[in-house]
Amino acid sequence: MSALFDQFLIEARDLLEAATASLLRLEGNPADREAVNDLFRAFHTLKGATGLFDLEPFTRLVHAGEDVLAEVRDGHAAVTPALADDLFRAIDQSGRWVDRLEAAQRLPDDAAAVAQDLAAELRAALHADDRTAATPVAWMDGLVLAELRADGSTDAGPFTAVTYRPDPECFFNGDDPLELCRRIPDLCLLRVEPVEPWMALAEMDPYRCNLRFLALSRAPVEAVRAVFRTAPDQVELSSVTLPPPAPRPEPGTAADPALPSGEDPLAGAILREQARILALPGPAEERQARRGAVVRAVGNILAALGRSAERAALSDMAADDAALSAFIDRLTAPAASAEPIKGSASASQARRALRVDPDRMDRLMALVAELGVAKASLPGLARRSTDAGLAQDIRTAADRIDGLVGELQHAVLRLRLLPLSRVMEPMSRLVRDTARRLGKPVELTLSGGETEADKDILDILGEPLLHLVRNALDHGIEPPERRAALGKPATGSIRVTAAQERDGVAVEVADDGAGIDPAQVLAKALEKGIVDPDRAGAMGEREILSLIFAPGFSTSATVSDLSGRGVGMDAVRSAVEQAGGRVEVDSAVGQGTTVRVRLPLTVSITRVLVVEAAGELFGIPVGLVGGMVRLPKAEIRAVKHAESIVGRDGVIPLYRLRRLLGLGEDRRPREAEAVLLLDLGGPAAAVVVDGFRERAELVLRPMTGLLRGLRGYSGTGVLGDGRLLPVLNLRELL
Amino acid sequence: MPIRYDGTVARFDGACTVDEALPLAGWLEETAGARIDLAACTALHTALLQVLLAVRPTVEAPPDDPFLRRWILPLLDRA
Repeated sequence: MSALFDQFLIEARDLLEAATASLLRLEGNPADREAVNDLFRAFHTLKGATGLFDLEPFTRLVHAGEDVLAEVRDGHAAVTPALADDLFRAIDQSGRWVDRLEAAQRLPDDAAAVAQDLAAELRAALHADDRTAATPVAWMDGLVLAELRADGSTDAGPFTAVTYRPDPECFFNGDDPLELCRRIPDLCLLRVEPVEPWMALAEMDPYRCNLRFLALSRAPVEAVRAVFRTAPDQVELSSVTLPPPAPRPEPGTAADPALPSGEDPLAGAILREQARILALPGPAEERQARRGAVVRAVGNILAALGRSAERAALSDMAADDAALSAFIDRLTAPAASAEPIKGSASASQARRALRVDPDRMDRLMALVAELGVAKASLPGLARRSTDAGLAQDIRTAADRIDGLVGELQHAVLRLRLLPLSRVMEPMSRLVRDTARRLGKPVELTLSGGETEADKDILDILGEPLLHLVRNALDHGIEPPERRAALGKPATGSIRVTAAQERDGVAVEVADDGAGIDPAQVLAKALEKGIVDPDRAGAMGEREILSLIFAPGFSTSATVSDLSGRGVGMDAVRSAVEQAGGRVEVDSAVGQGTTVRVRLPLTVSITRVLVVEAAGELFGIPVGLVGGMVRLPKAEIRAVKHAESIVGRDGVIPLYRLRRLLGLGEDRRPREAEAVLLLDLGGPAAAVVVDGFRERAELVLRPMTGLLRGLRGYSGTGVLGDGRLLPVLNLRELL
Repeated sequence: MPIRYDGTVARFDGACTVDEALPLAGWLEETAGARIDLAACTALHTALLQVLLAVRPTVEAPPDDPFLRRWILPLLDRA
């Protein structure tokens, strides 16, 4: 659709993410004012954004959330678990709608009904919690105050607030809700709102009441109740008092103090948005329609700010884009008189980070890589030059370009870095929901969220990490009774720690649960035929534990509702390795399990060890290399063709790269062999190569065309001197 | 007849009741550029109000009735 719509989708997701985080914070500490404000702001902004696109059910749902949060913010209600559940449901539903909007550009057909139900639940949760609140009237917001005060009323009340939701079938009983409202004594405010969005006239049932009425009266509650004696169940009455009216600001003074604090930057943001809408291109009728909407919006804001004089001026320029936008500019300009929105521009600009299409970033990355290859031709030029001075100059220039390319590559990589908190935050939600469902109280501790990693790495890391946490909850943490019996604290603990390492990032998921018993793992692996019985005896404890990552292995006897989703630990390992990382597990029976995921800083650049075999060079991802040794021939044991060496944890099978690749045997006599110890996560292995060469960083490209079907290679990269380097996929080869 | 249909103008007269809702909806559906004259309207049934709110025809003459003028007219009048 349009760029504006795309922007909306991105922002909506950000807002929902922010809302989830704030809500979790709020649940942890119901007194956290900042969390309430953040949550309110997220809902409020989302409401505004959905309003721009005529997504009525969406707007209605988030509006209900906003109303409820306004109550919480103003201290009239508390966040109970039930209310939090409802808010989470609203956030989840919104997320599904955003996905749907992205896919189909429209809300599903049941959206109106769903919004209605959720909004009703939200409001019900609020009222169930707090029926005796001083002012349980959600719609009494700043706008209402402004509307009242626009009449010059300085009366603080008490007022009787009327929330009248007529039965849809009420017309058949002879009721006329509007006439009832007419009879409210001392009426000083009446709002009429549709319950459901208006349908096309042809589909509309005029005999079904689709309106609700919100009113304020200066008469006492009992006097108002008398009016509604025929419909007592459809009306809510409560006595409210209004905050004392603030003095009108003189022209030239700062913010209008009648405005609840924190609201005025919002007004500024809305005004700027209006100016932007006004500037949008489009056919004349569209611009005309937009102008109408802008005038209304600006008028409402001015009314809310209590600036009716300017509101009058607004109507004079309703037909003139230029005058209107100049008018809005004056309202938002920091130097304007009667400035109600001071400081808002810089605040919101500072928050708004630049968003770049990942494809453009990839293109930039590819260009930098090409530049690296192009630069590699310079030393060749220098060699061919017969002029020694020129050759020296070319070399000097090449060195300089070399350094710059390196820096450029680094800078581009940094552009793609995002904090790991992006993948850690969803865990809080997962743990909260799951812990409640399983009845296992768990405390989740996240740390190191500020650690940065490449966006691609985060994309890859997200699911596996969630799975590890889910696993820890499901299989690791024991039920509370069992924990109590073992003398452990009833509340389990899951710690997720991220840290920067030299070559990348490491994320650790540690629980204090039952741990994994190596004997059981081994028995299971033997039973499932994952391990050869004759290998089993030689396996070290670590090696046995790492069998849980083998395809087809599951430690739980029963497939639970949680972990049995087809994403096993083998999927975790394959995702991590695909990103050039590795995963390892540590566990102590009765004390807990720690799973460590190590990932390179970026997937765009792969660090490889270059090895030689039969005169050719091959790359092996550094992440898989456990060590490099020169072993005297005498230490290699051979039984027929099968060779092995003895390592720390037992016997390690030895392979020869030449044989694996079908290259000719090495007939040269040699004293010692260059042996690469591999760490493939499963059973250990070692590979003999002809020689070790340098380490290199390269942009790995997958095999394409005819080569794609070739087994044993994960891609190619270009070395600094321009040579093409095939990178091996050792797990496939072995 | 509390509502008279006069070309493209519907004139509301006196207390307009729920019985008018269907004819009004039908007329609004058929009439392009429909306008309404509420000047003589003294009571507007909720069913009529919601039909008007759903369509928002141009208000040619505002109601003299103070209640309707104060609370209902702003909902119908286009900004």
